[in-house]
Amino acid sequence: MNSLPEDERTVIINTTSTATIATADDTDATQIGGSVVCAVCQAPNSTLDRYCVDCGFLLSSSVIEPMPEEEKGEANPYLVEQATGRRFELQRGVISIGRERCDILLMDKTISRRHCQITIQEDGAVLFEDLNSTNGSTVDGVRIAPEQPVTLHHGASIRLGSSGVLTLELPGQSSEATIQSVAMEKTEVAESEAETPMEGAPEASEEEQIVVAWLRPTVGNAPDVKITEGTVTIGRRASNKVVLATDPFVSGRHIELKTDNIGTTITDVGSTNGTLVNENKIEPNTPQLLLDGDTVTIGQTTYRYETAEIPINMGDEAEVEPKQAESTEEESDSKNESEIE
Amino acid sequence: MEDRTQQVGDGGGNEVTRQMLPGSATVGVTQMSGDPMRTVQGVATRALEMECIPGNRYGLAGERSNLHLLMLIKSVNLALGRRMPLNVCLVIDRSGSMEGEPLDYVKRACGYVVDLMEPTDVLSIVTFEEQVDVVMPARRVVNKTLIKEHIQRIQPGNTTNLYDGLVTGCAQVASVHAEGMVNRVLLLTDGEPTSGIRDFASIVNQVAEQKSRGITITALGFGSEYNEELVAGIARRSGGNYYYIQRPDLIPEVFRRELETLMTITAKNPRITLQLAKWIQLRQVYGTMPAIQGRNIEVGLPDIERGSIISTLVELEVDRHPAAAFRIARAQLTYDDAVSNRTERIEADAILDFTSDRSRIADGENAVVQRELEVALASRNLEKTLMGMRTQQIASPTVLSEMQRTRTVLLNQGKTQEAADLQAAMDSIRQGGEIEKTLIGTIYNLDRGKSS
Repeated sequence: MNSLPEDERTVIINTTSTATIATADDTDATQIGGSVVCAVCQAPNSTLDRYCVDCGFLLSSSVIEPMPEEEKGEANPYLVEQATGRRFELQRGVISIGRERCDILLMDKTISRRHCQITIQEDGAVLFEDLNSTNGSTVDGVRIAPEQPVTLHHGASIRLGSSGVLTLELPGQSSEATIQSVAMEKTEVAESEAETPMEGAPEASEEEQIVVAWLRPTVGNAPDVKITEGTVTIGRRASNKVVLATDPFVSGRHIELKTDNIGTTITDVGSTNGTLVNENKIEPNTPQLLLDGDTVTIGQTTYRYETAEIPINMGDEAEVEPKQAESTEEESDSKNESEIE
Repeated sequence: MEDRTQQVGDGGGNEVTRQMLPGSATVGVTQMSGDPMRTVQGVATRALEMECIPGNRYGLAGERSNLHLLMLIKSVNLALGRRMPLNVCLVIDRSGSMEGEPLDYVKRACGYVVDLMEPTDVLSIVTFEEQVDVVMPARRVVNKTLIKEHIQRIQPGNTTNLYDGLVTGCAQVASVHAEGMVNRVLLLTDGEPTSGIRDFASIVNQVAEQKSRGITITALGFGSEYNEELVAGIARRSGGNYYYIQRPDLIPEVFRRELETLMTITAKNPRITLQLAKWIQLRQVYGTMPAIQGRNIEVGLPDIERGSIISTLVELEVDRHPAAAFRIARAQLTYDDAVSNRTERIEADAILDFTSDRSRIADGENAVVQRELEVALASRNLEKTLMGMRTQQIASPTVLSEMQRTRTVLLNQGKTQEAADLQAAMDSIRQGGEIEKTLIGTIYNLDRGKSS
């Protein structure tokens, strides 16, 4: 473990113990200090960090040679474990899934050792086959006959035994399917996955959830914060969904935003310096509803809360220009159009 | 006073390849203890040390790979200044089948427990049949004669209401509001639950809930009629010990052994949180079900006795990295320390050097991790054998040869106790005896990764 060459060690200003504090599980450990951008993943780090908080790169070293290719397997589909957010890349060929000695390991007792397999064909088609598992498999709530491959579409939700849901994400198709699923979600109150085999399952992955609102800085050029459905945690530590690593006034775990069909609530989860909504400090651990146009101050930055115009698919990196499916245009409220700008 | 050195082994033999990092926990000043019963030598500042060892210190830059990571937790093998006081409840099955010899030996066993305990310890006794009785509510072990009188009054009853017995026993332990005690329920049963809540899931969920409140259950199965899946399942979910007691005359000895084990616990409620860096994903944690929350993986561990070693092996999926040094994971161990008498946190980083030089990969392999992997696979293999036996898909000769093969692996990896258990089980098969109750314990012990 202490295998770093000597020359690298001398560059390090901080000892391991101080680096520890910076990522320690302690909201009081808010640090004051400058920032260093990681040469590998571009994540901002405090100068007190020895390793990048996000990718673990030894910040005092330099990359000897860059990666052969820039993008990391973007063209491959992914299988996303909904309960944990684990993402399994599906490379061309046969991928076995089960509890033991499989390409994708799932730790659930109701899953067979070799439960099923997914085949990615040359043309990118995705085939799913249950390998005569003890407890069977369902796709979109429909039980799959063993050893008979079926084609999976984007957003298909797979359940093995009585384990959690796995969702398929296909490259390229995500935007349409996501928008479609939003339209469906708006019309259906409670979707029962057992009843209706759906085209696009509403369970989108963390990365591809629909942006429902934004926190845009009122001054300065801090990045916008995307607010997606469900829970968005914001803080300095890497375990947050939105990492604000550069601001020393932001606590490790600072706030939590929860969005459901009523709206978005903001909760300060015990930050050191507190959170202001419309200039008023909010009670810690008490959710407060956010309204369009509210200002939210986290650390040194004040943001304006803006609900999103229409569901925008966030693919991998940049904001994708929203493709407006017919159905969503009808759904989108006219009031939103006037408010953005 | 008897010698309280743990029985399982002295740990001297298998530490050759292990090297602890300097500075993680150093030996402190010698200090006198308040407990006159125990020999005091030196006192370490903390009870535990942890290392986080990648299966290979090099990774191939620009390529995906799977990697094993071993968290090796070592309890400092020095005499302790003090032991943690015990808060123990004996939960005894007194169903009809326990009548006669078994119950007589149980009474004797309870008497041993009373003898071993000191006035700083708390004991309670609960019996169950159809109904549950609190024979003795939680009390300090002061008047030993009186406690033994209570024990003598235990009478056999009818059915087996294990669930309510367990809940009542846990409530006795929970009723003691004292910090720094080892909270433990010793549950002895000889049969299937026949009244009250009987299904596996409800019982095990109850166990999990008690565990979350800091109460561990040691499960003792007696005779040939109990449900080993349930009894071992209770121990497994709780992190407590599992014993298979074949004959009534062995009950006192097992109780004594368990009590002595409890008296050497130096770290309570240990748990590891593993924080994975970007481009690292968990494939599995061997032998246990972790709680996964994004990139944080939490693994609960059993209480750790003085001088023992706990290994937790995980398999990770490593995405492509450029050639440079990366911290791929950070392990954080939290536990209640008997030495420092407070909650301690130990951190260890797993650093990998990604290189384009393929030839370095072979040099970077770690033998200790490889060895732990062999043991983990041996455990899976045993589980498969056990399952095959139950479903009668594997015939006896195949079972024997499989067990022999696993036994060889375990012997080679220094798991002498488990290898001996397997030998005993194999002898038992040859005589037409039943081995599942032993085997399930061996699997559990291997999965816990505990050695001494």
